[in-house]
Amino acid sequence: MNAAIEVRDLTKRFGAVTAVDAVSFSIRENAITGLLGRNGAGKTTLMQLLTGQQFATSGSILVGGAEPAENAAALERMCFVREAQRYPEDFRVQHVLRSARWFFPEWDAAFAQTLVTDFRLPLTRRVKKLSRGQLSAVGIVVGLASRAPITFFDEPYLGLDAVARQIFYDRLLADYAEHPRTVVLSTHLIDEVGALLERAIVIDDGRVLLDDDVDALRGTLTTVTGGVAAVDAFVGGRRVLHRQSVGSFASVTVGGLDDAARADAVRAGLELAPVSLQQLVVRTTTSAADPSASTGTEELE
Amino acid sequence: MSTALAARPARTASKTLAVARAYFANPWTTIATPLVVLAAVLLLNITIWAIISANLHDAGDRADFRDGVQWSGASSWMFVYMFVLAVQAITAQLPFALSYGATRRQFLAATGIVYLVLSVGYATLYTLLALVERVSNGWGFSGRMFTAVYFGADSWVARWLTFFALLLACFLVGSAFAAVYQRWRRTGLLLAFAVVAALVVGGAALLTLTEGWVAFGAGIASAWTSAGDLALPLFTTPFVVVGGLVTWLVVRRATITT
Repeated sequence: MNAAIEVRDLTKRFGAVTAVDAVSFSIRENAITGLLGRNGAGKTTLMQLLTGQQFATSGSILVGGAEPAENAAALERMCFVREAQRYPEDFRVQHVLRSARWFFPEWDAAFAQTLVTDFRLPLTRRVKKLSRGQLSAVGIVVGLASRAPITFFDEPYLGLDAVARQIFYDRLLADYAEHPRTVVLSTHLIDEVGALLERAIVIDDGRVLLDDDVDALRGTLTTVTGGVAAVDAFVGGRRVLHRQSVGSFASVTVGGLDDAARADAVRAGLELAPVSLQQLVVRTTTSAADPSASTGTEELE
Repeated sequence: MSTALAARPARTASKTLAVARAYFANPWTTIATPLVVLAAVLLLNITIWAIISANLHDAGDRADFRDGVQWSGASSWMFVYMFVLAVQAITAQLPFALSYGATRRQFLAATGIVYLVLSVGYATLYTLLALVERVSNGWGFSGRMFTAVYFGADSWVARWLTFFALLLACFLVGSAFAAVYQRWRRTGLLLAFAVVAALVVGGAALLTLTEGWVAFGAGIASAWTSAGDLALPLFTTPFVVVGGLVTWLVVRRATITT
């Protein structure tokens, strides 16, 4: 695996607040990596550090072997689609596209035009007058058409309706298939985006909780459903991340079931279901937040 | 390291150029609007001078008018406009450039070039208009806008340098304050004003206590007269230098805050 970005012991403190706490990970080259986590987990700060827009307190970031901050050669290869992008006064959409062409050596104007039509962006409207969704769409157009070898999307779909989001995912995948590049995508809509992701890094409270291939992650947790007694008997001493019961039925989320255990569960008449990526992230971050009570429990009468 | 990443050479100069071009992406902001406003202000002034002229009946009145109109501040709005442009450069162009992968150094270099280009351009324009004003005897009505007394100068080179220095000073002082705001927000800005005020009041206090006002005033006056035509550009230079230095130092570690 070739790493486009290597991060070692990266820490960022804002006064008394530690936004990023000694994280280490690698971003695989030419893969779509998702940066997942709760609000305020540190995703945006991390992206800002990787793109040289914030200066690290300590630790190292290597993009192509060099620190990105104030490094023109490293930044040359990156495009960062921010959540709240500031545009110069009096810019209209057409000016954004015109400027982007100057900044990104690989800019594809024809592709940009296709995207503008897809998202129905008014070229002559002032950027200040765009709706939240249209603003996001402009950012997406720039991010996609830049063909930057390393492209970051920080919650790029804010305000976009479901149709527009689907257009984004489709265009991203189609272009990525033809012109592979490293994509890092931070998101709340984990299940929607989950199908795109090859790797996922889950961050909570400035620390990395999970960093793995999405396929591998999907197999780590399983939901076991059945009668309360049977479920409890099966689960035994395993670590339970979440428990939900309705009357005499219970549903628990457990980790690390191998084939033998699965066979046992089926024999005991229990139902096994895979846990979606979103549930995985939710369960993991919840239990990480409150490790003393290793079970989250919900009683529904 | 894969060959794909290593093969592409760094074209570091291109982002500096890109940042500079971004200032002119919408040509209205830096060129068209100032020119339109300039034309409008000039026309307005000429109209007013024409009206006044029609009501001047004797030589005494006309002398009065000429005396008064040399103090015209009509051309000063351009300097304020450039100050505002500089503020926008830091508050809007900087975050934009950083997001698109420019380094702060590239931004500073590009912005410096843009300031120089605009200062040269508009100084030249003002000097040419001053020439027209002189030649046309005040646009036909003894009016004065570009040859107002503030700009001094009998030599055209000195006149150009005056305009150039004033414009550049407006750009750099504007950037300096905007940069302080960008990096340290309101607290920083207030602190900056406090520092400037302290320096001024402190300086005044020092002069008062040492009874040095006379010497200070005499020193300034003699420096001014000995500089002759270049007095104003020379006295503007400290603002240019300090403004530029502050902008450079502050922006080097500036970050984008939303």
